Amino acid sequence: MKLFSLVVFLCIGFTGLSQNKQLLYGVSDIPQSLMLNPGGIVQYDKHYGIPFLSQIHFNGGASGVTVYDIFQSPNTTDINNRITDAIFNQKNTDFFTVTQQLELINIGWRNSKEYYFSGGIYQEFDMITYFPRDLAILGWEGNGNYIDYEFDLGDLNTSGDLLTVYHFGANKKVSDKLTLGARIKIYSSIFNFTSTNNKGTFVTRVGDGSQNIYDHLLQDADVQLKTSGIAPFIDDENGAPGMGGHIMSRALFGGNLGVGFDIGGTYEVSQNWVVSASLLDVGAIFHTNEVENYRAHGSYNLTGLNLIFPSLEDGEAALPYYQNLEDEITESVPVDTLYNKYTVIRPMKVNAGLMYHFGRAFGNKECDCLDMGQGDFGNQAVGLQFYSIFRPKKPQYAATLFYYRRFTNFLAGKITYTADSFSVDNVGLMAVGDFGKLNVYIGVDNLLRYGNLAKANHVSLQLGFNLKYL
Amino acid sequence: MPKQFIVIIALSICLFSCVKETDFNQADAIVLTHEVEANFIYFTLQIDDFEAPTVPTGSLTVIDTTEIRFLDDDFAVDNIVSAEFFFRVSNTFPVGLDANFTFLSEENEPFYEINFPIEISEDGTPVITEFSQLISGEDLDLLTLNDKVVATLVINTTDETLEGELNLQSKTTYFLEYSEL
Repeated sequence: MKLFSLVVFLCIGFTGLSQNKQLLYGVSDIPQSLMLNPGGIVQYDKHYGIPFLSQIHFNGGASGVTVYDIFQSPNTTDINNRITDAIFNQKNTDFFTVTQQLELINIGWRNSKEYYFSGGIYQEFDMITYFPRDLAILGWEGNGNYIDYEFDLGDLNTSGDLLTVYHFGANKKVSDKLTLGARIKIYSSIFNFTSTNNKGTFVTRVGDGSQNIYDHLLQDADVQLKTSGIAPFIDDENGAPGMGGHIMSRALFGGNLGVGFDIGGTYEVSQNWVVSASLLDVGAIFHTNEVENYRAHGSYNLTGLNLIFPSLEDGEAALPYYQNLEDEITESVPVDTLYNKYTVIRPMKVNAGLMYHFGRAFGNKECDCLDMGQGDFGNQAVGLQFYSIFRPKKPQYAATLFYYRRFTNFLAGKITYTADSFSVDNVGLMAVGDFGKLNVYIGVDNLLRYGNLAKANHVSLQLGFNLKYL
Repeated sequence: MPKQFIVIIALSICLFSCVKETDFNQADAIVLTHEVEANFIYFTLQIDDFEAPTVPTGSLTVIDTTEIRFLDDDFAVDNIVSAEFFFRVSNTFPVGLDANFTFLSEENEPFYEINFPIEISEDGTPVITEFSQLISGEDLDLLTLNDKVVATLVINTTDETLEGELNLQSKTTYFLEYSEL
């Protein structure tokens, strides 16, 4: 039961719209903002991310339930009733998601032709599991009270990736107003699992009287789980010697590879108004090695054990009805292990922003302050941001209002208010400091819930350290 | 000052973020309570299916056996809290019958049985007999020792030319409680 608690806590406790980094987007003080918009404004000439510390990002969420919903205390109601409520209150489009990113290397420099190049390596884990409502009801309550109800096997929908991303991008201010950028990415998948587009129903109906009391009907089932890089873990439950090396090898182009790109741009409409947009992870990973797929498909009507009372000689064994039934089911709904290669489209993301600058400018001629990031713009800005990520069932969206302020030449902050699939009151806060060449940032989401994470649908944390050279 | 500001924010995040108003020990009270409806055995018999008695005073009888492998599985033993067998029999024989279902262990030892009479059809039209038996407590412990069932139907006649047909359908409702998550 403790294990169950841990799983629930991990799934729904620390789990927004994964990968939405509304705090980081458009904050040109931070080199990692180029990862969200390769066409962002760059006002430094060189940067080095502190290896393994330049971006640590964790983001997780559950759109339909919180830890508090299940484990609330004082517990005035039975926990089993709360779980029942949680199951029935969620839709099959609610989801659990976890994203974690760790930047290993990130560097950038401006060349003599005013191109700003940047590149690096980061590791990412990204998983989404839609709430399998019908299967949860079947598992939680059984079929007894659901005669004639068609349980949808299509509710089973999950995918996850652990991968390393190698990237290189270029950014250039092509005119006084327009900055464009693009980034090429090579994905090295460590493992992937995908179970989407499942079909079929299971229903128990009262029979027509010709056979038995019920017809337990599995109708047009087609359930698939595609995996790559996972088989070695399953084959050796104790962990094969050198498994660490195996993972490392797959991270270093030894696994399944993919390609993709990011593009983006920023247009300075006026001294005050700036619009920007980007398209990230337009690409795919081609899973060709260590692939193991499982597919169960077919239809079957389980009517029970049909006795035929054969005449048997003394000592003759009875007919193997049960074995025959199992064989019939296996034949009607075979579970195949396949080794077909497959392609997974990366979850493409769209960012867009509209920003209005105002206030006292830092770094312009009217001020002797050092130019620290926002150049000739005012020290404050408000704006709107839009984010979308393409997920297996449908795209998810988030809209953000923000206020940015540069307090001093070395300290800035951004506060965001985001409405997304998880909540409509996600307040986030980010602080960015430039201490000499050291650039430090930290941002957290869901501040209104930070006092009690158990009540949060979503928590996100990102922090990092860079060296910046103006 | 600026470094302190960042440190203060970082510490605030660590110090003021917490999980409260929750009690994870409640997980011990989580119990899955399933009610599973499942078909059991079914068959149709004519007089030709019955066999002559082995003793002169006996009646025509049919016997068949099938495994029910899951019944003595650890999962069933640990989690079924009660089971209700339901039988529906349609009979057009002009005589009564007796149905017996004897559950046997892997060693063919009988630990539990269900008996019920089947009503006569006076005029050859189908007469429906319904019978249900709820099994719980010690009886359930006995039931889940078994992995096969012997179905025996005895028709109260020795007339092997008797007209009629018997159709038996059955289901089991398993009530499960599962707390070992």
